[in-house]
Amino acid sequence: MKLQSREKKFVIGALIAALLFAVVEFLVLPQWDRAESGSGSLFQAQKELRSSWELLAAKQLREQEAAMRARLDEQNRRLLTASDANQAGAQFQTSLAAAAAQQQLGLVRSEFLAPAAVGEKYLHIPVRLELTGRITQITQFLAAISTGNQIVSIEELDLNSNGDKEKRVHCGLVVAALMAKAK
Amino acid sequence: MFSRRPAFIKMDLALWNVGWFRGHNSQAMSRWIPRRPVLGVEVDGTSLLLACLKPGLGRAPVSYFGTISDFAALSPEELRAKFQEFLTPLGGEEPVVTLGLPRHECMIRFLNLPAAAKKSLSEAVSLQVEMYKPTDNETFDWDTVIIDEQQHLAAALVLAPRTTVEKFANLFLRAGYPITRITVTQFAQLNLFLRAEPAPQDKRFLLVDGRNQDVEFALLEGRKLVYSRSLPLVRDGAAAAHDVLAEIQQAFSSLRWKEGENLVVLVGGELPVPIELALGSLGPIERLKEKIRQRALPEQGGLQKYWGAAAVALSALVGRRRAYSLNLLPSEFRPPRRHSRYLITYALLFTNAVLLLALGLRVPVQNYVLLRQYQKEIAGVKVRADEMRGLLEKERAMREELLALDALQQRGRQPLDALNEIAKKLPQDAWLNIFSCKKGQIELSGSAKAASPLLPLFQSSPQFQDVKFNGALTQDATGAEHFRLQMKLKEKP
Repeated sequence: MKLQSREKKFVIGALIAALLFAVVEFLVLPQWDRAESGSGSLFQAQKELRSSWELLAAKQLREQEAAMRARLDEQNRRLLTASDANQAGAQFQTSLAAAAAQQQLGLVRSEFLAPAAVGEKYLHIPVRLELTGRITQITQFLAAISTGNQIVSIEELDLNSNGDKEKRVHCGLVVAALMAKAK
Repeated sequence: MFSRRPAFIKMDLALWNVGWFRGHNSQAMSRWIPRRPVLGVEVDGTSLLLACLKPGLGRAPVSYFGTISDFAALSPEELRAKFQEFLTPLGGEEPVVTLGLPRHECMIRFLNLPAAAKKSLSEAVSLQVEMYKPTDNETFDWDTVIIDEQQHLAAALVLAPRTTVEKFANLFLRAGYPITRITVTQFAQLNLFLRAEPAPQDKRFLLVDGRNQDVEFALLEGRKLVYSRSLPLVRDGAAAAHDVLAEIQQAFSSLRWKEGENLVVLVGGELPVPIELALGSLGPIERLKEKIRQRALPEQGGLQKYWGAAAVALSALVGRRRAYSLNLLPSEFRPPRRHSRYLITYALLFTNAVLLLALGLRVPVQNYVLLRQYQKEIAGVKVRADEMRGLLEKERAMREELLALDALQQRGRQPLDALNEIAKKLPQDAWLNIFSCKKGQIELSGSAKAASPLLPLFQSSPQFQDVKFNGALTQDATGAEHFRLQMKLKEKP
């Protein structure tokens, strides 16, 4: 079929229009949308870059981290060193009994209570003690265990003087130490 | 002799030429304004009648006229000088040159073609030309005017001898003003008339032009040209009014027209009085120039004489109604189109388009480039930044761990601190039997000489809150008061 020049112009015009439509629809508009949405991610990128440069500029961060690690290591040395909670409990009971003996206190009873988790890294090892002795001996015992080498927390404290002639006081307390959780 | 009259040169700024002032719409007016200067040339015996139109500031073109006498005797250089002198107001701008041949220089044949010929019109007309050309020894240049009449196509075939066309084409070419279009002055006037007025199908028109040596007349049925002829204006020393009337009446009878039926006589130029009187018997006489002049040409001296040249110039304008627009000049004689003259315009348009595009795309492109740059920089510092970020995370975790351990130790010292505070606050004459501290709750039991003052003593301590007696005070035989106190440890911030 032979097309006249006018018809050829129409066909060429239609082809150009179709080509333009395809270019605009599938190339120009998607790129435009991407470029427009780029302004949001531009802000994010700017923020991220600034934060990265600030991090790199913070030289004291390493020193702070080292100091913090040293402090934490020092605290970790004050934890009970045992492979499990039972052993730790026994170890703690022994050290408490030794401290009581050192103050010439009478150890009436010592009981190992159920351990509990403290955070993600530690276990709480509680021990119930019943002691008898003079109030000064008891306070010295309490001061000794709380300022000793181990991290110790006095959970409960009961003092009861039954008015005997020797002024002996009955002391019941729950003391807890910490151990690191097995990894 | 060249006789351009400077008095005719005038800028068309008069209010009566302003289309909108007279209620014409601007689109209609724009059809009469050339985009570039047009030189219309009408051949009148041995003279060339010139009309130059150029775009002006008003709503009609600026026009001026002139004559070159005895042009055939001039050398190309002399002719060029005449043209240059005439075209001085254009300031060196080259006009489009259009030549109008007199009717007697051409042959006109009327054809009826089947509507089916529309698709291959050029071939169909070429065949007809071969049939209608008067001799095989001479070459003819031709052009057609086609009127579509639904059932068939009415064509007016115009033939001009190649020798005539070539003579004028070469003459103007050598003078440095190549012709772009050759038409017939009568057709130029028809074109002008049909541009100015849509001729209804049921109306008949007789167009008569008697300005020059011949009387040229054409019969139109609506827009369709059905008859065309030219006769000498003067025969045997007298106006050939009788001849003209007889010729027209003969045409009427051959066309089977009744005299005066729906006929309008259009006079293209001034006619000798006897002829005009004779034509008056056929129908009302109207002046063609009056129909269009106010739109296209301002009234000025000389328009009467140069009417044909002005019509030739106006027929070169591009418009929607292009009926009777002819070009008898073969393509090989036409000056090549100089597209380069628009190069600067195109370049400026292109630059503007690019600038506009750049303006529109500036923000997204800038964002895109910046984003790429940031992403590159982020990738460059990512390893070190991640390392530092990890360090920061570790430091934060250790800090929290240390704080938790400190808090635990602090809480573990609370019973001792409470015992210490109570020992400090307790008066000399008071002593305790029981001290109990469980989960922040403290209970005391003891005796004192006077127990009541104990309450404000402990209440004033920063370590305790909610201090109260837990039971009634009792007195023993020695007069000492037994008390039971209850209080809470204050939470440390």
